[in-house]
Amino acid sequence: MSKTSAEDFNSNERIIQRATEVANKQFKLKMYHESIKLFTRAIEFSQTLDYSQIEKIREKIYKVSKRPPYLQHGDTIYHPKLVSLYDSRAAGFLKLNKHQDAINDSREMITIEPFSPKGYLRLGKIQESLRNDRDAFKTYSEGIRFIESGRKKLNLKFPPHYIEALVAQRNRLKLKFLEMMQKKKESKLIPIPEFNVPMTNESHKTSFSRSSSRDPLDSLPIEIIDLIVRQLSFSQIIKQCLLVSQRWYDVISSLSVFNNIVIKNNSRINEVQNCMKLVLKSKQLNNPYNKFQTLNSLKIGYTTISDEKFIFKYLFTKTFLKLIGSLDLQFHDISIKQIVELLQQSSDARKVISNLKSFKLQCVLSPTYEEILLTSFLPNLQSLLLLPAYHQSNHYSIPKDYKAFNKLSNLKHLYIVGDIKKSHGNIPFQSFFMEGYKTFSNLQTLQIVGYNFDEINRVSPNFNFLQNFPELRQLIFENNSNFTFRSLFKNIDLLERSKLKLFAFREREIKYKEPLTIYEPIHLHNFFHTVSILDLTGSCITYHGLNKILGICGENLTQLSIGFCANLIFQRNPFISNHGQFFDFDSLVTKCPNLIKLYLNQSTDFCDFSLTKLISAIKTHDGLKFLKTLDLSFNSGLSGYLLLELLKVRRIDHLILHGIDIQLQTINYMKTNYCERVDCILEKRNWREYGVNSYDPF
Amino acid sequence: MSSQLIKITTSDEETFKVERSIVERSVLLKHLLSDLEYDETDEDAEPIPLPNVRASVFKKVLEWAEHHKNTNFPDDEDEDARKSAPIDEWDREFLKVVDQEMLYEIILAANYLNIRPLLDAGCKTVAEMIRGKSAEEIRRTFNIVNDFSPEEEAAIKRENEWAEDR
Repeated sequence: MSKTSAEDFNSNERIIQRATEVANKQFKLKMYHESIKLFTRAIEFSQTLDYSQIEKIREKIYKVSKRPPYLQHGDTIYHPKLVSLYDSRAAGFLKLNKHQDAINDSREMITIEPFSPKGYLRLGKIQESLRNDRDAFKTYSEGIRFIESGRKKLNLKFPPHYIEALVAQRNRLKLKFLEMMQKKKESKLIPIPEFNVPMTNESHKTSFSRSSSRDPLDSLPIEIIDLIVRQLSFSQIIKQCLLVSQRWYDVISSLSVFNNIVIKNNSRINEVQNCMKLVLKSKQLNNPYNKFQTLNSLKIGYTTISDEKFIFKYLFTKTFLKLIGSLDLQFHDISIKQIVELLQQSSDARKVISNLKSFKLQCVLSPTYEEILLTSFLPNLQSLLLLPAYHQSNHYSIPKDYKAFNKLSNLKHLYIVGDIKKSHGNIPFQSFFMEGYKTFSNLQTLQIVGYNFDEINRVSPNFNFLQNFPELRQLIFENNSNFTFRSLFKNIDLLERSKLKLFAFREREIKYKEPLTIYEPIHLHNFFHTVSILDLTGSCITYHGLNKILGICGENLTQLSIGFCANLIFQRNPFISNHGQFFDFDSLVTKCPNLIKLYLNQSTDFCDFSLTKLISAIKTHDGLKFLKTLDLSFNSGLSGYLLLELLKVRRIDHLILHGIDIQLQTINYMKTNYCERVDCILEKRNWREYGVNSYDPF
Repeated sequence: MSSQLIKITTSDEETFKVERSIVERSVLLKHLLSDLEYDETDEDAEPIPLPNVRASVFKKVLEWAEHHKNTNFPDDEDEDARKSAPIDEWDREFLKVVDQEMLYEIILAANYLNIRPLLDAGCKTVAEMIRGKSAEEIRRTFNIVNDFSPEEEAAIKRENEWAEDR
């Protein structure tokens, strides 16, 4: 649109008025799209008018002062109807549920005429319609404040209804808030349901009433009783609290503690039945019409062997419980095959576990991969831990052609923990690892502990590990035998970038003399480049290999665990050299500037000299600025004064010094001056006492 | 200005004047104050009604809030962490001296006013009155009459052998 000359103000004003009339009619006829379009054009047109025209329109047509009195010279002046145009357009947007557009228009109104109530009223109304009473209240209050300040400070005169309209809206909301607060008590607290309790003997009652003692069930609502009971031990609730009175029995057995059940080891069938009876009773009180009652979690420890079969059948076919959280079962003799067969036969049994999110199962794992069938009954499973039964013998063979048919797309965490002493050869889901490309399309955690990779290496040289787990974030290997890097890094060239964050590799021996060094950094890059937690505790890594990995992911690393690595050798004194095979702190400090936790426990030849090297590396490069935790346990012979030297150079919040003989005074001095916490237990002997499987997910 | 106080009226029509920082220990009142844009410098501001709390109970709540004026409660959404934290020593003594009825009323007030640390301390205090006690001892503590017949009691005992602590 071209600029019009000053004389045309009359005809220009007519254009705007005409457009407004038509757009208003369209609005009444519910032609909102058309109406909005026309208002938009009117708004745009009014903005093409120059100051002199607007001043004339104000003066000649609307009979008001040339410019609003609060404007400074040079401030933009707007067409006197512009606010109304925005207001009408906002109403149109509201009809079309375009709330954001409506909000933008009302904000625009406030900007154009901050002393008019219109913008605040419109914005508040929109916010209320979005059930945002608080913001609406603020909007009205802001309007009142602004108009008030205009009156007081700028001496502007407004018609009284300007403020009154806003005050009325604000007071309406204020009343609403107060009413809601009054109602809160009635709505929030659930009264204790009345049970058919026989009236207590009056004379009995008076004999006690000397004290002010009162049954909490009489005084407190059930949600608070629930908070109190949750503080108590499960066995006391069951064995004592239920016995207090019939009312206690009824109320307490309906509480949420019966959502998470633990049945003790060596239970017999009748004990399990009694437990389930109580649970069902509690559930039916809340939910009487469903055949299946939901239960959050259930743990049944090893039951009495002779009853195991009955308990297993009873649980799956007679209880009608539907587990929605986690299930933890430990069997001696039940095999995964029996479980799958029962699930195939009985739809009731399938219902029990169909909503399960987390499953820990210890049973006899069969050689025919029933675990894959099992997962087909667990569509919602996110986490699975499989353990072989305690007495399981090692007699597997791998099926020749097992076709992967099942997409385990919900499974996020898979933990496969074998018996470390026996190191079974048949790894659950093994065939999937080998062939089922993208079967585990969403798996984020994979942990394999205590299995023997010999079979995999022999039967499937093409075992192509990493490509099957495109979403993997955490990968943990520990104490497996016959593990090779080739298993892991087969076809690593083909690997698209991994998303790995945590890589834990606690493997004592790598067979076939296949050190990491045969891989070029470029090959390892795609695997390691996102890793931020690297745990190589107890592995056979050498300094050369470590250096290669740190070159790739060093800058990302927040935690580095390289304790108990027999092949990582620290320099004992300055007089021996080993052609660059010694651990080099300068390199560590420069490659890993962002480390927060560093574990150097039980390291080979780590001594005072190594510590001085660390100190000087930190000093020289001003490195390890973010270090919070340092573990130097079991590096015997470290001296206290050197540790203090270290702390002077770099404060460390948490220092771990197990098994190091340091004077108590020194430790206290560290605590008061440098550290928040110093762990030092002299009696601990070695890293193994930390526990073998320190990533135990449950 | 710190000398300005907020007026609060309890269910039995007693009006208290309280510092804002103390009132704001209650999440309910804190939100209400900001919703209403309560201005304590305004002499004529209406007092805030608390229809569910008696003056004697509110006094105890204020005493607690006054003591914990400078306490930094961990903003702990973690249910387990809160559950296992021990009761603050001062809270324990504070809640020990009141009788059971007052204790329950303080708990109810803390729940209504949404003062999580006080509610937790109250619930833990009641739990400690139960913890480790036999059914008979619990009855004596709370003055409860055993309305089970000996046979019923024995049957329940038999049925609940299976339970184990988590």
